[in-house]
Amino acid sequence: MRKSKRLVSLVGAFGVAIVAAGSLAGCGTQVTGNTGSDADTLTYWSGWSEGEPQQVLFQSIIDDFEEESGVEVDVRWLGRDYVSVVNNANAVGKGPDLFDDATDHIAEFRSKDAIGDVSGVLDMTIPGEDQKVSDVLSASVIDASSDADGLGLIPYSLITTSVWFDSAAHPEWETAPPATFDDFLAVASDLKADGEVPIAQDGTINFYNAYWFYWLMMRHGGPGSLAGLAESADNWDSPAVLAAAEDVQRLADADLFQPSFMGTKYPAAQNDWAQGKAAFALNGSWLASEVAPNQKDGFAPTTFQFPQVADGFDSVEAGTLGWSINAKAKNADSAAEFLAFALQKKYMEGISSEALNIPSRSDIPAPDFLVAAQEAVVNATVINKTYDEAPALYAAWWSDSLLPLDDKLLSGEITAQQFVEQGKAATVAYLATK
Amino acid sequence: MPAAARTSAAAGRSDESGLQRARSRLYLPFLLPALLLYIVLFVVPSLASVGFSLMKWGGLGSDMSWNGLGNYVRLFTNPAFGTSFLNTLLLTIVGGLIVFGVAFLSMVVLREMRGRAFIRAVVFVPYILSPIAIGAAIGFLLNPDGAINLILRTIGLDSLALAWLSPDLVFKVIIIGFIWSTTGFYVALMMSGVDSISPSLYEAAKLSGASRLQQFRYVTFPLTRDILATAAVLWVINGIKVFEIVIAFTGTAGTPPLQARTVAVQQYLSVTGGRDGVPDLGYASAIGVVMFVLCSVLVVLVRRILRTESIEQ
Repeated sequence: MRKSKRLVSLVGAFGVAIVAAGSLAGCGTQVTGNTGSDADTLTYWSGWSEGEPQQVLFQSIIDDFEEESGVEVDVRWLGRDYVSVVNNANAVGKGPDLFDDATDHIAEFRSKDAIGDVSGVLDMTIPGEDQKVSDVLSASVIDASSDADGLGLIPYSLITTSVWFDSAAHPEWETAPPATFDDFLAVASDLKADGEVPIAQDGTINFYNAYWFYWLMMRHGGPGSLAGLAESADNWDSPAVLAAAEDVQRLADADLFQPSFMGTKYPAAQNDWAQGKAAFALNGSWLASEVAPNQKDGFAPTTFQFPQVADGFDSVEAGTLGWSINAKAKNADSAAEFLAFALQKKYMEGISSEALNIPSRSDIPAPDFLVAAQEAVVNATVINKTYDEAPALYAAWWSDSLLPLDDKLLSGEITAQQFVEQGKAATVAYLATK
Repeated sequence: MPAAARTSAAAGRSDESGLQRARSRLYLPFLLPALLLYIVLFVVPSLASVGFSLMKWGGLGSDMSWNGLGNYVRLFTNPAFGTSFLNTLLLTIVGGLIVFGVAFLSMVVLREMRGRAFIRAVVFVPYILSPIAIGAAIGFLLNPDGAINLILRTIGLDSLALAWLSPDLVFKVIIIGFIWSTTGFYVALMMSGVDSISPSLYEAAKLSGASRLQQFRYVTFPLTRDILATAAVLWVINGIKVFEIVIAFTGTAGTPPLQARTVAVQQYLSVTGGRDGVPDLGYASAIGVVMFVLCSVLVVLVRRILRTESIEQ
């Protein structure tokens, strides 16, 4: 107790002085798009660790950039804790010019005024190619990299959530996936009747359990409807909420997950899915590369979009991983130059071939198992952010109110009606003391 | 009194007070470095933490604004914090009764037992295991199709093969895990007190016809009460800070379910902002202050219950 309290206090004690100092030094960054560097050193802090495919790829980009531009890149591979490291360094005026970012971290970086204007990069020409950065990024991808204040990052990779299955075992779903949620439940129930486990669910991960309610909210209520539940208790009265909760209840009542799924420790269920012990897994675009070492011979994972509901909404989830330029960057133009350089086809192909992720560029195909997901995101007319951005915008509500209730709904402990009543009451309490 | 003696006594007093003065002048330079370090590294941050608990603050780089008692009101009206508070008390009190029950039993049984050093070493081992290693083992053991359920099903106890890590059950499992991992430490601590008791006292007790339980009641217990008081205080402090064992059992991929959260876990979620959220350091500081108060109250209570005159052998 003391340790953590002291840590918070220490950090805070220095913070007061630092915030004051920072506000004096603060100034906005504007990427002018002028190539030709105005500085010799560019600092870049990354969320990847040494040895990861993205790190290896980015290091090769850095090496080539240094050689061609004469700008020295001072890079630090920070690993997953990079968000707090970047924020703390920014607070003392020692932040990098360029840092890794992701759709779900934009809100936090924005709250610290850490993100500079990167929109100028879109108009820059990609070296060696006769096209601008904006020509290779689809509107949906730009949208996924933006928030209310505009473009937050220049993306290199896409993430999305969809329903995974083994196309070797079920080629029929590749051409004709279950179109509606009713169809999906029917297909899953048929599998269960045949003695198969329809859906693998690592139930000890509450975030994964929440995929179902989140997606059904996107279908019944549309983008913004899930985050809206944290904004006003009255939003719980919308028929879409009860409809989404009732669909989750139908799923729970049909008993379509592996036995005792709520006690399954990650990653047991997803590994079982890769072994062919379950037909479906609702998960992110990273799933296939995560389970690759454990998959059975001949396993051919691929995805289809979350099924539709009658008179519902048809959005596609889109999130991006990318680079942000620091609002207080000393070398914003060099950083912009680096970003246009890095988006060259020869480098971004590595996101697909080496990192096995979906590249941000629409003209580079994703790995086979993600082609369907890539097409869905790139061609999407309406997108929604992962979990409708609720965890990023309303962390306490998400963690303390929604996830615990969602666990109860998915495990069949409470009905859809009780879920809505208790959710509304919890939101009233949350908003009263927010 | 002869004049010479008076002079000598006066001189003695004068020497003594001179020495005392010299000594008291020395206290300050000796004390100052430690005092300064303590003030800078503990007192000031603690007071600052109390100050932050009255603020709304997203951490370094974000603006801080006055929130009065808002964070405390939020704490005590938030059912999630209420659950974590009760969980922490439950773990500290129920867990404490069991751990010290086992420690007392070992003080009765282990004292004269052959191979007692070996047994003490064996029960101590879980204490030094890394929580990460424990977390990895949990999946093998406690998954629905893990080793524990496999054994239960093999011996025909299918109805006892439960979803051990499900939200409703996992905290009970965590309490058992915490007891398993810490009992060895408290047994070792209490046994070190038993070891220092003179064997002649037990011989005398035996000659008087005292049974093992009576030897414990009239020799061991009174002579280890000071160590018991220290051990109980340590237990309370460790119990209220329980964090890593919860994470070991629930994993880091999600957030621990509400039913399994302790106050420290709840504080961690506020400090980090959960998975994607913005940190809430004012609220986290308020949790820290409540933990400190809770800890202080329990420590004072424990000290009062176990207060006794020191007994010399």
